[in-house]
Amino acid sequence: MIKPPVLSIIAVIIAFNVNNIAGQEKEKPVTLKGYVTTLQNAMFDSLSGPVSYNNILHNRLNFKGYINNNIILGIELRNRLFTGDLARTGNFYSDITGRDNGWFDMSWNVIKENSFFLNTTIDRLWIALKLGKLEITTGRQRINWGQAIVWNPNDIFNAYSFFDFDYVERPGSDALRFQYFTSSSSIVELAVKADSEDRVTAAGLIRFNRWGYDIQFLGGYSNSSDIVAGAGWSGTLLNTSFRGEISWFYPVNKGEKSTLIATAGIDKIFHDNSVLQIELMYSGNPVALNDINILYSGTLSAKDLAFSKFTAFGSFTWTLTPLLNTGISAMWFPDLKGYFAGPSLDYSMSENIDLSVIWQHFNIHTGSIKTRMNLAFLRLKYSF
Amino acid sequence: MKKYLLLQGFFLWLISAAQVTAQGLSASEIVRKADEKFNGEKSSYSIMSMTIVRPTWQRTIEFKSWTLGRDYALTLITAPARDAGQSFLKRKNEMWNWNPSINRLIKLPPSMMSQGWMGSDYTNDDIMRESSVVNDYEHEFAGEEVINGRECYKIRMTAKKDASVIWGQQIRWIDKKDFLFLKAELYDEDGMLVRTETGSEIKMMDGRNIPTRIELIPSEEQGKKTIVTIKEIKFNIPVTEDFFSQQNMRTIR
Repeated sequence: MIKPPVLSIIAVIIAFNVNNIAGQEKEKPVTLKGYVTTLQNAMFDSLSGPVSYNNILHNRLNFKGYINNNIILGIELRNRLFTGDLARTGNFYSDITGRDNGWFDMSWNVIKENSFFLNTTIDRLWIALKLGKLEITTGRQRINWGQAIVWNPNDIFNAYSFFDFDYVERPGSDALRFQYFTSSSSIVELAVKADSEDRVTAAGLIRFNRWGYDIQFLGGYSNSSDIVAGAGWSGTLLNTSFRGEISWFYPVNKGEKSTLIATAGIDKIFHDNSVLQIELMYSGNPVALNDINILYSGTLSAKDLAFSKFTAFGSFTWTLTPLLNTGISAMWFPDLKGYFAGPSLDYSMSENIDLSVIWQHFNIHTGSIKTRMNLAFLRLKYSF
Repeated sequence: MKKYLLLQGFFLWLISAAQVTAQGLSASEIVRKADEKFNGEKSSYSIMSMTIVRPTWQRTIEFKSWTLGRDYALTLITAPARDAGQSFLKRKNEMWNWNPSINRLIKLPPSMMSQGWMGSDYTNDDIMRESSVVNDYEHEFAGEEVINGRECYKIRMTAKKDASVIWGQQIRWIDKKDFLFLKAELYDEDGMLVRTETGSEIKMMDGRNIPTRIELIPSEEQGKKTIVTIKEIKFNIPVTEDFFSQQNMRTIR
């Protein structure tokens, strides 16, 4: 098997060669985009207690190859160098990072030493074939069926955590996907994926635009365990975006409880580009939260998004100047007698360099134990 | 003096009542000709950059745009790197954003159209062209003036009562020879000057003389402006409504 660093070198060579050969072409047949970030983080229970310091140096590379107008190839990977207190605590952190939940294992700890490790993960590796209104995409890809902003019960091909702000792309699914664009603003989709445990998700979706709303219905089989049916919408209510999703998971194994999970929310963008967001989630069958880290790492199914029967979210991002955004967001988990709250600051230092300061404070009961956790982040990002 | 003003006022009224120039064009026809000149009679394709200038910083956004009439537009951001690849689709009153990094289509509210485009003095309405300088306003002559050495018609435009437009009134200076918008003053509903636009660097593009540098200067804020540079523009490109689709907004380059 080809090692990932070699793969990226080959890709770079291809990119340069093709550019030289086809420099006259109007559009480049291969494009490379990405970013480099350094994310410094401090983790502590309270200001008087011990602090764990960690750093991730992160480089993302997004390649796209246009073989012709109808065949497109996508390769995206992230190289991350982990240093700091967590990287020094044995194999736990590197093992979690090197785990790939996809059917193919495309996450490698390339270098592993006592005080640092380097991980390379390919999270997109797909080829798309366009046949008129039909598109067929094979390989590791992101199938995003979400309509709401914070929680996505309809997003059955992905599972992720809201708190993992440093991974906006989210992991991909190893899948086969058919998309048929029935009109300029409607679609019919069929997709099937398998994960590392050979669990299969296969589902169909229909989305159309009616009465100023995008409306979708989906149905299928989720994680080899549940029959799933769902619906979602996005539209406008009194100059405010109104979005929501509802999914119903019915276990194939008798004796297990079915889960109805629904979310609805509004988001409003004001004249100065400040944004207000409110979202509520209901789950008839919330997951027990035994470990606060699960909040951060996320669960593996859209069925398990909730840790409380009701969850509320609110956030306000204030555009102080066009270069400086400050925000505050909060989440309330009544069943956990707890909350999350965190301020954030984003500053555009130059055309391609952004600075972010993010604070995440958790105050939650896991079982009968009250847990407090603070995570402070400083991130410098250069995009290219 | 009073008599003279009255006379002049009457004379102006007479001119505007007649609404006809020496070339036999009404104020409305001049605005329509100028609008078509810039926006293309049917459709257009353009590559533009927009620089937001503030007293202590500036940022540049580059994009490609395809339009068909006023109802259809597709815009692809090509720079800065952070936003490149994002596209915006407008079909009649509806608007969507495609974000390739998260592979997601996001429906945007119609109210987004009057919002500043990424912090600029331009609004989405300007870019996605929601309102029409031709159909949403009443036009009258307000004199003639020379702008950048070119003789211009000065035309006062007042928003029609039922039109949903941002500007209550506009004064536009339109070049007599080539029907180019060389200057505009945009007023809010209370008659306050909100911004001034100027067009310069007239170049031949796709067989037409057009100003390729447009400056927007908000009137109340010192040291602020937005500069739009047209790098390429094509008029009446062969596109149909089908081109402005959610399928195309994902793959357009």
